[in-house]
Amino acid sequence: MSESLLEVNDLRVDFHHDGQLVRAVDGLTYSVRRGQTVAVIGESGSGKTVSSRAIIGLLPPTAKVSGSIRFDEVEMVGLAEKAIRSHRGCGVAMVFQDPTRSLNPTMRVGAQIREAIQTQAAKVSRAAAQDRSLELLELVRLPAARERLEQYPHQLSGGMRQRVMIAIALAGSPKLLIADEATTALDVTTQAQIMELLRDLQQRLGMALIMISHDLGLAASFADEVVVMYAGRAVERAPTRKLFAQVRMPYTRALLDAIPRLENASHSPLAAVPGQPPNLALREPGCPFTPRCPSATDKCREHAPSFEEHEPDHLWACWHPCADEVAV
Amino acid sequence: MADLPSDLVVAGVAPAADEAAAAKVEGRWRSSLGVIVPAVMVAFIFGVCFIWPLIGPVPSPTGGTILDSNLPAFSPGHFLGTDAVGNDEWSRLLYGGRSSLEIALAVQAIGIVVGGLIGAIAGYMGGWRDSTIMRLLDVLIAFPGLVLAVAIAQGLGPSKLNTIWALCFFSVPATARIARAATLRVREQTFMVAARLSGTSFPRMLVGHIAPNILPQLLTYALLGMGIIMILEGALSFVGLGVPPPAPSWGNMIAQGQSTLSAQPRFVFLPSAALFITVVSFNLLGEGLRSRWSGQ
Amino acid sequence: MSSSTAPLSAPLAARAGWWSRLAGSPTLRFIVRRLLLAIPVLFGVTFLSFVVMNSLPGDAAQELLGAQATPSEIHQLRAQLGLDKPFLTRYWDWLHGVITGHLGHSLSSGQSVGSILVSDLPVTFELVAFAFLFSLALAVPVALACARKPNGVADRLSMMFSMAGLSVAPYVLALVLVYVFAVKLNVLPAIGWVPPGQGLWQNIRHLILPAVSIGLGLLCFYTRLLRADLLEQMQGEDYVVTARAKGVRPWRVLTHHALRNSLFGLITVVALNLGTLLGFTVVIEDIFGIPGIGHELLQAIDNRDVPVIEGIVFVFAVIVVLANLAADVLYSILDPRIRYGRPTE
Repeated sequence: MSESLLEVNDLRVDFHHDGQLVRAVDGLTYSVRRGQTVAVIGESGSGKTVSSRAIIGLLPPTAKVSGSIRFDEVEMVGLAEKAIRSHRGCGVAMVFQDPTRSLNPTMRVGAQIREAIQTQAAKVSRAAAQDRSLELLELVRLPAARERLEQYPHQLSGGMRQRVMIAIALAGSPKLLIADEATTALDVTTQAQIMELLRDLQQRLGMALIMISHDLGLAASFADEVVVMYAGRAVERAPTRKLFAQVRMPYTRALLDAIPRLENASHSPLAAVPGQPPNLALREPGCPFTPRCPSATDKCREHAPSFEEHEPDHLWACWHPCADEVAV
Repeated sequence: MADLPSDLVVAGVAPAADEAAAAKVEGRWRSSLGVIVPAVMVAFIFGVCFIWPLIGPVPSPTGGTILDSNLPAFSPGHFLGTDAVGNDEWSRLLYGGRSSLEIALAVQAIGIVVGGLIGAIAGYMGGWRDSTIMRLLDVLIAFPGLVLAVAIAQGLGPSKLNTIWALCFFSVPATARIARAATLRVREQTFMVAARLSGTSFPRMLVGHIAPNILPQLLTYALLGMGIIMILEGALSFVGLGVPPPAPSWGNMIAQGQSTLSAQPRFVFLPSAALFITVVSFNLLGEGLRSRWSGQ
Repeated sequence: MSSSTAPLSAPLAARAGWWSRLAGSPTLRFIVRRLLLAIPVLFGVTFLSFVVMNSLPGDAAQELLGAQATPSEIHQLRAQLGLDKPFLTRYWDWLHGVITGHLGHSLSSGQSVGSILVSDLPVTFELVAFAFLFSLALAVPVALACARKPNGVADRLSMMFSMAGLSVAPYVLALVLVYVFAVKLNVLPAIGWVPPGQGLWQNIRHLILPAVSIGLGLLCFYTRLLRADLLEQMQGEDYVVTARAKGVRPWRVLTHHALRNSLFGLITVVALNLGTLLGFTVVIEDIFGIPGIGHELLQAIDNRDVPVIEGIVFVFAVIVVLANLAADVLYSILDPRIRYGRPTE
């Protein structure tokens, strides 16, 4: 049993749209060890969600996946649907962004959790599944669990629904949990609570966690390693401390600078990253961040830098990385 | 449609959510085919029923002699045979088609104009006018259309014109409802608000702004409705109303053929087949158009 | 760890609470509101049909007495039947009668309209029920099979057949069926009707062809609708993604998740369609000689038998309005978002 639970290698995902080929993920490489937390950070359109869906095999039929995704020593790319399905729930589980729409509005909460349980272990009786549902709800710290089982999703608040989603995801005791913007739709307090819960569960259950987010601040607090994605590629990757101590990619630098800080003077303008993410249908040579990069040169426009380990444990793809500076 | 992962949205990709999107994946030409083929069929049917009798060798549909009655198919001069009183079947089929199509066209045209107007007024004005009109329309729609049509047609007596009036009670409320919904959708668009604010009078709004925007939908709906109107016209003829014999319409041909169903099934099957093909063509055309509009 | 009573009490309490919640609930108010709205619609329909019936040329007394009648005979009969009273008076009389349960008497047979309705309604009801059963029972599995593999062989074939089925006029279908099954194969009767009391199997035999004539169009329509809705759910809804992420089999996702949500749309459409359905029932009853209210209506229209026409029209309107109301109510009961109201903390 190796240390590495998930190995994503040169993952590419293409979509056929209107006769065009759109490459949503362009050569993504990273790995996750057992029990580790990896944060995948990026803007909308960076490919972070598509890549995570590829791991669990939930892309629409118009998607073409190539490259390699090795989960627990099993190659997932090219695997038959049935085989992929056998990994869902007990191997890899997923928690989604919008718990309002991610739960079936016409099904009681308990029934939805029981379904997760019984899908993993068909022989389980309804009573046993009910017990296990209660256990799971208690595990995710949902108050008044017994009553909640009989309620419908719309009767719960957003934070409670997300806890239910987590309970459902944990039903099969997965080795890897993917939290796709799991807290984005929640208010800040609830966000913190849910993240704490996830961390606690992870430590208790020895589960690996991939947190997908656009929030670098969140990554800083909870992740062991951070992968920054842009335009379908990984552009920087390092253990959290190292990344924040020595930010190399101008893009990551810009993301960091965009986080509003209490130390800044009131009413000072927010430092947003200028420009728009690129149109993935029009792939140009050179680094995709060029139009928005303060350090861009002609070399950046012509040749795309490769993603390499320039410093121990710290990989990036840039011709003009940021210099060392004092960590914030 | 549910919120897609934002990456997919930005990349401009959407999963195939309906036939239109699926057609996009396969290629736009397929959806064009879905409109062109039925359109050709409809044009062909119109051509055969309206134009061919004028230029080709088609005998009169009425006035046959009893001596020629019940000739089988492929008899000389009557390639589909003759009916019980000696009229040429082929000719009856063509002229009957013309009758049925004329009625359906008239009904739908009135539906678009009158129903469209009523619906646009209701949708645009809103308020009590809207509620009153909608209540009235609800009443008409709630009522089994055929029963109403039968009652009216019976009261007025069987004739082509009366059939059209009777069937209008069916098409006008239905079109009005669609027009109202479409107007509501259009009303809040920026250019409409701008026109309203600049004091454009209602008639001008109607003609210049509302009409061009709701007409495509109304036309598509009217096309889809051609089929059901023709079937209803047939039903009216069936119960003795509709177009009075000896003038043929597909409906009264089918009704007349019923009594000799076992002996001469073709009297029923020929107009039935014609009606079926026509309705299928209209339905396919309407569906093809609808998926094109919704795809865009 | 847990005993059998503890988990049981929670759901039981939740379900018993259903009644008390319903009573004070938005659901009940919703139903009452819809009922109140339905009444003006009913009035409107009956008034409209009264207007239509009475403003049309032709005269009941004339019809009854035939062409030979003298003007004074006609005048006498009219007075006798109350046809010479002013329009509004007649409407008011009729309305009064409806509320008190007296629908008048047939002008041609003298039988009370009420008893005519009572004897004819069950027949039509049985026919319509058969047609519905046939169409719904087949539409659901076919739509599921189509949605399982969209654009697959089964799907394409079903869509083709359903397009064809939608384009066939019910009376045409009826005649084709009669030709094939009654005339050529001689396995089913062409016309007539046998009450269930006189032989259930015979009763059913006589209803098969008429029910299929009406039901086939419905079947095609419902199949297409349900299929479209199912596909929309399966391809566009997040809870479907969650279900798949749980590892649930695709078939189960269809039947246990998507179908539940699609049924709402189906219920509404079934109710909305009832009017058209009843209209065609009239023609079908005529073709097959089934003694239901449709057949009765045609005869009454022929005879200008206004009380009967009015009674039947009223019943039709009531049925349609009640059906729509029932659909709304069903919707509000089945959709837990409406039934259980706002979220609790």
